[in-house]
Amino acid sequence: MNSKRIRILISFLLVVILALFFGFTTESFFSASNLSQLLRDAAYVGTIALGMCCVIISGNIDLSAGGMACFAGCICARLALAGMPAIVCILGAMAIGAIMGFINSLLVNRLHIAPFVATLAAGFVYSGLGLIFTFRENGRIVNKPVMNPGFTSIAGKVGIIYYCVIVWIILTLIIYFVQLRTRFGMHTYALGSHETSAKMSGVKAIRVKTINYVICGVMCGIAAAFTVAYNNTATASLGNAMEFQAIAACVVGGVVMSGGSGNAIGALLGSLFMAMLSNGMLKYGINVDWQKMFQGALIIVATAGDAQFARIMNARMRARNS
Amino acid sequence: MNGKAKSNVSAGVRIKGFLGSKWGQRAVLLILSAIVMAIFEPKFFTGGNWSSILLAIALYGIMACGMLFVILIGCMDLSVGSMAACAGAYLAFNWVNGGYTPQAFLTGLLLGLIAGVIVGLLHGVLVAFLNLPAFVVTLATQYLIYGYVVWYTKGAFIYPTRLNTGGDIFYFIGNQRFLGLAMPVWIFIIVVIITAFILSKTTYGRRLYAVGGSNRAAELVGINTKRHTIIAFIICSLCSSLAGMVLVSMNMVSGCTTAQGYQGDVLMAMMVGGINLAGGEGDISGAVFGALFVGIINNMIILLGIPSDYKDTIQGVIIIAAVAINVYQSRKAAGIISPAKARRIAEKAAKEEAAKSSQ
Amino acid sequence: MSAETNPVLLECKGIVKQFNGIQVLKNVDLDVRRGEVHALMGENGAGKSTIIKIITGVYTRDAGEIYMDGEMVNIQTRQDSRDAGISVIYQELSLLPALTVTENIYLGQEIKGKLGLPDWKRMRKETQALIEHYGFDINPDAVVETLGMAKRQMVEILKALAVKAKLIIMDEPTASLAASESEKLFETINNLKSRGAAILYISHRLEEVYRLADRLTVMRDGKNVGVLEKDEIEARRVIELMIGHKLKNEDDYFRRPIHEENILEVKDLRYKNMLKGISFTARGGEILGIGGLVGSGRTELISCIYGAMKQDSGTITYNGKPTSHKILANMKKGFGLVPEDRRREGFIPLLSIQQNFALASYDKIAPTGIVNSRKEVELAERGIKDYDVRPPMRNLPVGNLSGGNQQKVVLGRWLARHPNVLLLDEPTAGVDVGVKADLYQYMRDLAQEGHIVIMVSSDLAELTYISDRILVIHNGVFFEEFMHENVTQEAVLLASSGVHTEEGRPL
Repeated sequence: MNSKRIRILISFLLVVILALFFGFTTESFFSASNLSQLLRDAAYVGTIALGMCCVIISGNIDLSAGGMACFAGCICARLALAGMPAIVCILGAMAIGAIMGFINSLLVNRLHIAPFVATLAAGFVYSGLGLIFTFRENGRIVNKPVMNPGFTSIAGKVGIIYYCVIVWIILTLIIYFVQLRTRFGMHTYALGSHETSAKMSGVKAIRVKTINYVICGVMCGIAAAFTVAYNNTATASLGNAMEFQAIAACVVGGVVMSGGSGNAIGALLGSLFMAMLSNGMLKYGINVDWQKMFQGALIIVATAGDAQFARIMNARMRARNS
Repeated sequence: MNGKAKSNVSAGVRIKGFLGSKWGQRAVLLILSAIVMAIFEPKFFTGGNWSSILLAIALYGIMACGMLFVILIGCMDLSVGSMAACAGAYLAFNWVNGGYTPQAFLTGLLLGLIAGVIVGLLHGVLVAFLNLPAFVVTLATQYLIYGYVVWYTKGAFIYPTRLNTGGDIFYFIGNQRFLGLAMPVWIFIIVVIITAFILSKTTYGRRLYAVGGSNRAAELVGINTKRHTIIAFIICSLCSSLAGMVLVSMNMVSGCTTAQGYQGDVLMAMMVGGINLAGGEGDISGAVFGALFVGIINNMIILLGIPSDYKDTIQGVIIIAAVAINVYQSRKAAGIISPAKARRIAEKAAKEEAAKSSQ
Repeated sequence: MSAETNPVLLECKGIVKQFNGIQVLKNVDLDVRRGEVHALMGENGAGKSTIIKIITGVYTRDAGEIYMDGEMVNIQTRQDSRDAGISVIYQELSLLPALTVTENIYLGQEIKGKLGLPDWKRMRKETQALIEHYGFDINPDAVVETLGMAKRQMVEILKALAVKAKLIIMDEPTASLAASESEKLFETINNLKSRGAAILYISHRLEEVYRLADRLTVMRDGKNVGVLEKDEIEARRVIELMIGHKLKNEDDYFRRPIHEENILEVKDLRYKNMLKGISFTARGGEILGIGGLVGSGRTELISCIYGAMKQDSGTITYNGKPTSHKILANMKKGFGLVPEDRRREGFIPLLSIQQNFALASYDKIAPTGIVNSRKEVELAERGIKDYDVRPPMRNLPVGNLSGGNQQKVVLGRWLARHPNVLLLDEPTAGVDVGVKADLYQYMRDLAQEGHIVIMVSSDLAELTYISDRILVIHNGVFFEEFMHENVTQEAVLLASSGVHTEEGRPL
């Protein structure tokens, strides 16, 4: 079994262990309504994490994901309020996301700004724009409900499964296929594991990076649209710290921060883990702000753990070859 | 920037770039802001306004000095805002709950500084020994510390005021005036002097540039790069806790939202100050100028009546523009041109040649 | 079929290139015929790499024309160059270690199957066919990480062959190869040549050029200063063309007195599976050369002595006292190291000459931790003067100097400390002939003062020229010892490959 499979298996086991832990120690963890809610939360983080994992695998980072979700969500809410059909609202959010992703790629590729600074600053811009586009009355921000039944119906569910969960899983499978089977996916891994070598082999670095950033933007747009529909409004706190959660999900799912390894399935498992963690902790009465403490610690432990994991696997491989 | 060659050596001759020297650019920026303000809001130039600008500069500046150490070794600390909130909360809560005694103040002060050392140590160890990327570690601790502050303050705000303020030590560090300048400004000046001294006059500071310039090469000339990294992170966190304590005293309020978002302001100060994010390049004048500029911009936003909602956007755009210029100048100095430009030059040459041969 | 009668494949006419107003290439002509190995030589800065970069589309030319098979091609980008049938073999950079041989070969030029997705099965088959056609010994499914340097280079060559390159450019292909691996590469080159491929071969190493080249172009100062046919290639002539003036007789060797009070002893040193019990004694006044293949553990040996790596077992004593595992402690005892990878490990590119000089001497010029600027300036000024660093500007970042001058700074900052034990790893790699002579002189001067100089080198001419004594590593132990008087390059090479010689003393 190669190290990639082992890593995915570890993420899977983590999810199972956490589920069993909360399942046995709390009352309603496995109830249909809780599971339904949990999956919806996971889909929100997960869709963004999916885009994030594409960017991280290509060797970059996108710290503007939360900002992108905020701005795309606000635009989406405006479209919905204008009475646009649901499809237009979603496409609008995706388009805005794509544009923001493209701007990020311009900052990184054309202006040669280090990705984390470029996207951190761009994130300020996007969330600032989102703030400007929130609803207000007499200058004060209000939670104005989006009266658009066509649009809010996308927050519905089949059985206990919300539509957004289905979309999330389909997107994950598509991205997984792209990563595994296509030339673009291959080039993304090549670029993430060694940029110079990849470029010398004729990988079009700028194009690959751009597409990955655009994918991330589009994912943020989709996640934002579903969230706006579910909350029935867009607020300035939409997408707040989502990049942080998405990165945490990726890291737990085995997407290595330095790029070149990990995949969409890992991001999916990581997101499930993160959603379960919040859900379970809430049941223990730990509120959202305190949870950030655990999530912060989790990122550190997971990145550190991954570094050790890679070291052990490398040593094993070398020992086997010599 | 051609001046980069010398920026960490002396303030001597700097080679002229497109916009003139580094100092020329800074002067241009300041003059531009002055002109804008002279036209739109002359209140900008009043003494009262400047004393509030100076307070803001002092806060950003104290943090920027700390951040400078971390960026010089090619790292980044995104947790400075949370760190400041944490230290501020220690000071204010101990002061109030301890019954406004000097002992209570001292306990809070010590706790705040110790917290700074511990957080810096944690960052340093994770970055130096586990080779984790600094921005991931500090992004995580940013939330970690924030969560801790929420827990510590129980989400409440505290207003450490008594009826007879003035004269007490807590009020003193944030508000007392001395020779016409507020205490925070004096603290800032002291921090700047210490930073400048460490960076230019001590072997630790000099070696820091080497660690940022090339870690392995620094190691091979006997520099303990891990220790240097850890100390840099500790200095950064200490500066943040100091700034946090000054801030709560200045505003007479403490809670989890203290200094929220300050990492953006500090980052903007570093970028405008021309500090190279890749490490090994930048000096104290950059940090001070950056803090000055950030203070002025934030003040301008308020005075010009721009809704505070636009602050984030403006800040983001300024950071991007500043980094883009820094990157452009250092690439130009290194002789790197973009492929598109290379193609244009080549096409032009080919055309000229064709014109020549057709004659 | 003789190469002289072959049709011309690549022809460059009047290539001009300037950077920031400085002409790097002044009207260069270059032609390569089909089925020949064409060597390109020149000192550093002569313009070799610039012309290669123009041919491969990394740089664009300011003027001049390039023809392939008589047709003019307009090369502006790497892709243009690839389309014209030109491939470059880089030393190690262009392979992705985590991918397999097949994936690496077809990365960026994937064969598409149905639905436009890459068809890996077919690519694997094609790779297998290519490997069999050229008789290589490589598994198409092997992960590149697990391959040796020579095999990696074969993968590079396969990559070029897979796109049916007409011209293969090899830039210092043996730089990271051990001698036996180089042999394999030479076989491959002859094999390719016999199949009609043209090879443009750039190397510093004269021996290789004699063996391989059918023709040789020498460049100097951005100009083509001469093309030699195979029977005209002769060492003195090539070197004269390269440096432009007559060579002085280099046989000025004399033995310096040995200082017994200065003794470095290494006993039974073991490190992983690289070093299996190394013992030797070095004395003051002696230049000790360490030979052996690349990757034979030479770098590890001197890193252990310096304290940059920790040996698994064995003792290192200096004047009877064991050395430390901390670099700083050893530095204070008078140890110094000039590392192999100068750009990454030797100096700090952004820092000035002055600061780079000072870095290694802070324990001497600033023992209290407070820097005395005057002493720092003095140190740098003296260093620049003593070691003839050019340009002599102490505030210039070292990254802006030429390779040779960078090495002078790296070496100079140790020499300024008068180190008791100076360890050098490939000190003259990528340094031009003029600076080399200076570096040798500094090493001799240091030994003359009674200090120990230990030099690792792959350059046999250098090793045999400068060393008083040469120890050759083979299989993790010292295999043979040579004294200066009776050493030959061939003998050192044989010993490196585990063959005993008459000249050497078996250990």
